[in-house]
Amino acid sequence: MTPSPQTRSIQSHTQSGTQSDLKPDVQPDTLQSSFVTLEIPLEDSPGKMEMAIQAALRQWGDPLRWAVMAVDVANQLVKVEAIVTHPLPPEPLLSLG
Amino acid sequence: MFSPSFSAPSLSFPNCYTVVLLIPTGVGCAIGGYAGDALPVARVISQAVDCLITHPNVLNGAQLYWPLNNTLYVEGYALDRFAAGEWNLAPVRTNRVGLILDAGIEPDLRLRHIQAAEAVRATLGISLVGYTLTDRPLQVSLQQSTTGASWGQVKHLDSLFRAAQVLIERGGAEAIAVVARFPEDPETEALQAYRQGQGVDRLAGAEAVISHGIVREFRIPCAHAPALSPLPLDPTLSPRSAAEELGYTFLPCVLVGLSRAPQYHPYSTTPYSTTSHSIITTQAVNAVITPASACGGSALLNWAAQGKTIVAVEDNTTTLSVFPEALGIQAVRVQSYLEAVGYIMSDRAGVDPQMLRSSFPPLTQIMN
Repeated sequence: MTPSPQTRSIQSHTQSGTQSDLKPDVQPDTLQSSFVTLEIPLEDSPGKMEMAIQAALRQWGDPLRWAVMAVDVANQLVKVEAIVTHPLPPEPLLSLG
Repeated sequence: MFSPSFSAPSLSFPNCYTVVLLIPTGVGCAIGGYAGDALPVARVISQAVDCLITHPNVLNGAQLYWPLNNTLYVEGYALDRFAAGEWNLAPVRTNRVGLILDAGIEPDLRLRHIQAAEAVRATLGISLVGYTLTDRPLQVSLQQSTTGASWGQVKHLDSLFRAAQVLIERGGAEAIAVVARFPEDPETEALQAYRQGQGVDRLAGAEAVISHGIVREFRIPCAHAPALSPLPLDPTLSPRSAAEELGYTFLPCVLVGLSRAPQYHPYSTTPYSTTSHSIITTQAVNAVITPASACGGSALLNWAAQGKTIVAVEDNTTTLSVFPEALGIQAVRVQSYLEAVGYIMSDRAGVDPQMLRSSFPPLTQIMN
């Protein structure tokens, strides 16, 4: 199940950091998306297939959009393409020492 | 621009015959893969059912659209949650729409879009709360996978979400329209093919990411229109792609669709979700119509798991070969949307569709 849409408040994006394309008053990015391609075992029912895909994608981020793009019946595999989102790692703090 | 009068829906949704029409975006659907060219299909199916649920890719034709009083405009991410039983749909009389404009849009093109929004207010009476600019260019990128599907990403999703938050919290927006600057190259083979009514809509994947993101973050209706420079005149333009070359903007259909898009209520907080006459749950869906070769989406898998009638249309070919049987989906295969409409009407009437054929198999004994 996808997390509640309200669980990631934009106002909570307060981490510090610098990025070269930022205006001084623009908050830094905290989220990025990735294109993911997975091959996972073909399940024997559509409900199990849907749950298996969601679970596999969650290892890569928060699934935003996905679909089965091919089914390899001979090898019992499905190919899934997806866009997932995940938090950007915080910028390292500058050493003042 | 077509601008007929609107009237509010007057349906009592429970106990209605409800059908979902799915035509996935960015996979080269022969019907619906271009510029609102599945709208005729939606118009016909809407006449065969009490309630039609479909998504912006089906109903958006740039500056063309058609008001369908019994049809709900539901963004794809919300359709997935609806199918999973996580969200319900709450039809509305109207939404106040907020408009996000990508800071990467050139000033003249931005003004064209603001004027298009003003035109929709003045000519159609649609309520807009205002517009806001993203605090930096969104930087949309496009890609095409090895399967031929179009995908894309937005570099600055945070900026998109901050803009949506401004419209919702300060403007009171109940739905969000987004216009993002998309990369363009009029000379690409993919674009040339698209204008000829062939191949895949290269913009579609990134458009879906934008609307899915806002719907996931804020749980309100959202749809997207790309900002692009007008293309050079092409005398061989396909009718299926022609709607996108009528002017400077694809925004009018988006604003019209969002103005009456149902709101999304999480299942757990929907009061009397199965009895209220103003709430539609996934249980209300009777049948789902899909291209036969694109059966691998989340919503369809969930509806198939729930035992809904799945009608798979063979004529609407795609770049994929994900047929229902391979995924364990029990589907009714039909050749065309014309046949799908007949099947739906038969199902709605409670008539076994096999009885409409000249021959059908005899009864067989079911053994103990």
